[in-house]
Amino acid sequence: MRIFLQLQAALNEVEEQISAARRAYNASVLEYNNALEMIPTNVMAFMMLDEKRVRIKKKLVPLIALSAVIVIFSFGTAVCFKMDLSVMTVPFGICAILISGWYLKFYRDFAGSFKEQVIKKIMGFIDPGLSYDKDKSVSKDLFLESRIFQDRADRYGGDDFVFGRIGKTDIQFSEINVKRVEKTTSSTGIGLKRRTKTYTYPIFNGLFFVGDFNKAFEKKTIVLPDTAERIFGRLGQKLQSINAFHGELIKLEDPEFEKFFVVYGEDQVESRYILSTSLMAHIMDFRNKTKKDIFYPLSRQRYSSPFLMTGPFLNPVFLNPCWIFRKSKNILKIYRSQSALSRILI
Amino acid sequence: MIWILVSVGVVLITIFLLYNSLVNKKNQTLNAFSGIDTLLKKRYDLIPNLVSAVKQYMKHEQGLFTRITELRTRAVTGDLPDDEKVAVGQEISGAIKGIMVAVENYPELKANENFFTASGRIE
Repeated sequence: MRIFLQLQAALNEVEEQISAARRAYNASVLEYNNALEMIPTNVMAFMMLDEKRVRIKKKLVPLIALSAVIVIFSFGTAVCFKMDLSVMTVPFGICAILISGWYLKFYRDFAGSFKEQVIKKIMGFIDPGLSYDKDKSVSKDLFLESRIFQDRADRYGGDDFVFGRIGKTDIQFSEINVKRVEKTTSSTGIGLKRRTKTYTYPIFNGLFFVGDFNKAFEKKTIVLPDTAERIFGRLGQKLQSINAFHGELIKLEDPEFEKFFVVYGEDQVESRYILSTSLMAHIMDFRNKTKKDIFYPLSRQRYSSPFLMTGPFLNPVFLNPCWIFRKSKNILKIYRSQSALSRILI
Repeated sequence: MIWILVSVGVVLITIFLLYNSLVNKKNQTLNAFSGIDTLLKKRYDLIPNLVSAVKQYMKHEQGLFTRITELRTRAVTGDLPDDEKVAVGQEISGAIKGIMVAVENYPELKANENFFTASGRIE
């Protein structure tokens, strides 16, 4: 049985050596990663990016000058020869084509590499559990599932998809842009020529946030900003009780919350089960911080919340150097409050 | 003019050094990984001995033995990707620990061992 004893000793020794080797490996990986991410190499990448920015900016300057010359010149000739001013659409059109050509050829490429190199890092820095994909977006199904807007979503697009896991909660958000398309046909009298006109109506353009909810529930509940009660008072409340799309009105016991929000749900008990006092307090807190209207549709184990935003959410401004990135503060604020919500939910 | 040349030279040398240090560090990680790999192999060579040494005493732990042998064949025969190598290695660590704990349930093994060491000392 001595063999066994020797074997045990040998195995223990190997085991210890393995753990030492593993530690050595981890140390060298750390060093390598640090070297990759730390200043000199990173700064090089950044400088290259900024050079690109300066280059495309330089390309825009003569374009704008040229456009200005075209417009002024054609305006001058139009006035001199007493032409109809509608002729001006031609030079304006030319300028639009020039500038959109610049956009397609240079700006898109620059914005892409900016997102790839800067935004990805920012997201990783905010929370290591987050990943970023510049082209994808929150899926249309998730948007429809939230059932917050009554209009048809005919056109759906988006970008800047951020997804990941905070603690035990899966979250995702992205910029989305939803439109409804309406076609109207009208006959224009003579010759009964039929004309089809297409109108697009924006439904939602902004940041859409989706996260898992900690309680199991079947039916839908929706928290909306209460505009009616603020404007019409008592009468507003009467009006609210009829809303076919969202379901029954749920009167909650918290008067402060009732003042700012109105809640609809398909099930009285379930809605109250979902909207616990701590969740209500959090929503109130968030509203007080942002001073913005908040929507919280909760359906099928998920909560989602759309934010209306003005302007694109993560695009670089080519007039500023790459390291001045103004909007990140805004994103951080929204992200923090949302992840705080996720933490409460855990 | 000379200053421009000098500064360009300095920049080029810096880039060269940076690149070299990165390559160097990358090779170091590869080297460290192969260190782990050789040790894992060394342990795989010990496993058959362990199994044959205790098998006859521990008739009730057949499951443990088949599992560890299976894992070993997987590790030794196939050319696994790196992360799988590590995963299999970890599983084998667990299995070996299991056997070591199981050994304690077989007093005759322990007793034997004590007897032999004791007798060795007497001689």
